[in-house]
Amino acid sequence: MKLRDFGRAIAHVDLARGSYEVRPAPEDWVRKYIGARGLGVRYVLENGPEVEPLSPSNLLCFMNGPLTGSEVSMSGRWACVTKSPLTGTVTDSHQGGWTGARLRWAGFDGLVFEGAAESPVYAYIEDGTLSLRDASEVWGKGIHATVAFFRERYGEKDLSVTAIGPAGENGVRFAAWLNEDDRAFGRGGTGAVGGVKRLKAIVIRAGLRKSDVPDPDAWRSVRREMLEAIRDEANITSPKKGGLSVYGTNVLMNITNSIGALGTRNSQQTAFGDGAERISGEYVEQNILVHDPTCHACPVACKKEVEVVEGPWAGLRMESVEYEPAWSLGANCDNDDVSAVAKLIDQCNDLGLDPIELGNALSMWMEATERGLVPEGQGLAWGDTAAMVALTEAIAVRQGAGEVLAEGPARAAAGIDHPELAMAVKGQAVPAYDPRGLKGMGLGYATSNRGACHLRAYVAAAELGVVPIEADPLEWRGKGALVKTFQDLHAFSDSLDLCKFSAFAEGAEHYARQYEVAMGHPCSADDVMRAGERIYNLERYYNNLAGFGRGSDTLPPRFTEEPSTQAGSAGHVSELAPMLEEYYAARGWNAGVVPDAKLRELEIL
Amino acid sequence: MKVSFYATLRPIVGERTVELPLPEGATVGALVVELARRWPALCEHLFDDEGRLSRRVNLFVDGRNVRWLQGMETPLSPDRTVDVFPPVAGG
Repeated sequence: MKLRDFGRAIAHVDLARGSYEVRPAPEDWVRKYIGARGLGVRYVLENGPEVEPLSPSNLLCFMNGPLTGSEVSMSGRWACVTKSPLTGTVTDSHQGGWTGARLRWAGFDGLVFEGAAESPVYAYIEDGTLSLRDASEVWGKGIHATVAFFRERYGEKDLSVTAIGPAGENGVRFAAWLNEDDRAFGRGGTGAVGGVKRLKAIVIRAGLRKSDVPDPDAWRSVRREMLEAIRDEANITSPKKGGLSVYGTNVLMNITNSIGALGTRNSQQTAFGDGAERISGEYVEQNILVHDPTCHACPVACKKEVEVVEGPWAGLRMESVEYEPAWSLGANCDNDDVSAVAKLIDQCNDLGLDPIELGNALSMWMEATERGLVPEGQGLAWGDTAAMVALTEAIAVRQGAGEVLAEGPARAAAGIDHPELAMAVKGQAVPAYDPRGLKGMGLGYATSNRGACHLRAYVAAAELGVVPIEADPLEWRGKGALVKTFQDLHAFSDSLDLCKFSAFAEGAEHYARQYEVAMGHPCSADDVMRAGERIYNLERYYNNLAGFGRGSDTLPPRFTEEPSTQAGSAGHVSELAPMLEEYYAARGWNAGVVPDAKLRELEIL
Repeated sequence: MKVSFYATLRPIVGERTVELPLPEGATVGALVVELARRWPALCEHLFDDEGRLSRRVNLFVDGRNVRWLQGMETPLSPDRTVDVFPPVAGG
């Protein structure tokens, strides 16, 4: 597996014809856009920004990065890139586990699905070949049953399956892909694009392959150096010692609650009181944790497998109670029952739903119910977990109120003439960091190219004091340049494709060294930041062409007009307007639009 | 006053919240010294090599990190809430 050959084996699959062709990505694209996220966006741009997302003409790309499946730590990631049916922007989402690694080991760097099949199919990949096979036996099945079906057919050894569930088949605009480890391409509705194409699953059989690099000694050295950084006891990634490793991402629940940055009851409040502790990582670790699963080449093991011990879902064993869904389906729905949270996440994993979007859809519907805006018989009460479970099922099959909510909270709120009730940006719902208590995160949501997103610019790492950058979470000044820097850095790591959590232990110089040694050509920290900036501008260019211009970088009025009343952030709103001014100045954009001069400077045009 | 501990610091203290008597006019600096005296294993988290408040701890008074208040000089009173976290983040 020659890492420097990355990009030479992209399978272009014509679903209508049932054929495929392996072609190299243009060398120029690989040099400029690196891989995974960046390369996928370039393919989607080439397909044209005017394409209707839920049509066969939309392109569905699954892209590895140059480090995917290699021996460097946290390299078990790959990207799904398409035009989002939720937002109409270009979107990318990243999946952990072993699936991307197995694709690399099977001899492919990426898959580009074009058109739509006449009847349901799955792609079977093994030993450098791909075939489209009949999926009618699993169409309609949940993801867990689909994985079980393929394991029975092909055996478990060296097998990965990533699939859509009923939500994707039924065109739910926030449908996801999940694999055998319940790791998701979660955001942006990529699963619905698979449904339109009648592509049920990608099944890959491949055993571990070692990397072939120009300088094996340097490769060993750089891997060791990265591993030591991740293991450093001062870092939250430190195995079995750092907070992220011990408690998983849900270690965040109590701190955002403490500082007034935990959206509650559809973000009407910014803290959940004692309820936060009952759905926190600490509570999970003490009461229901049974295992700490991991991904390819990762010593952190931040996944948290649990077994529900009481209540109607006793006996349910699932992974993973993450911070985002514990917030969206917990605090934001006024639900402090961690068992119900686990049940709802497991439902998302099986039906193929994005739990952030789902939680926001449910919390919006709860507030709308409280305000008397929901048709009789379709209401949902705060914290009614049994009704939440039932409505989640209905969303996946588009029945009753589920038909409305399957469109996502932004469209559903607009449909009852109250768009202000949806906590969404560019049509995608907000994650678990309230912009009134973490000002930089709010700017990150507003300027994210895929709609509201915490991961494009995870400045929470600075605002929460994890990385050594001084950033008061309640200070808006200085956040423009900070958000840009984080967005550019993460655009690069998403293109390598390394786990976002590598940034808790590594920086641009580390990414440059790994890329340089893997690819065998020079790369500096400046090169990393410039490539990241190029990728971020490429996405923005796509969105501008797709109709997102001035005024698209917004936040829901709740965050800019309704002050927080909870400790830590009391009295604060998001000062979005001046932050945007700073940000656009740092980017060299005209009110959210990339000028041609910037595109030429970054070699995009 | 009540002091709550989170994540990897909680097992060191053995409890979620402890009640500590603090004299009138006490500061965060005095609290940190008291925490180190009661739970010596906290020392490596609380102090850096030069004896300053370490970056390995984030101490909040009424939801504000003391780094953005008056640091070790931040005044305390019995009605204030203190939360002590190690660095935490995720996705």
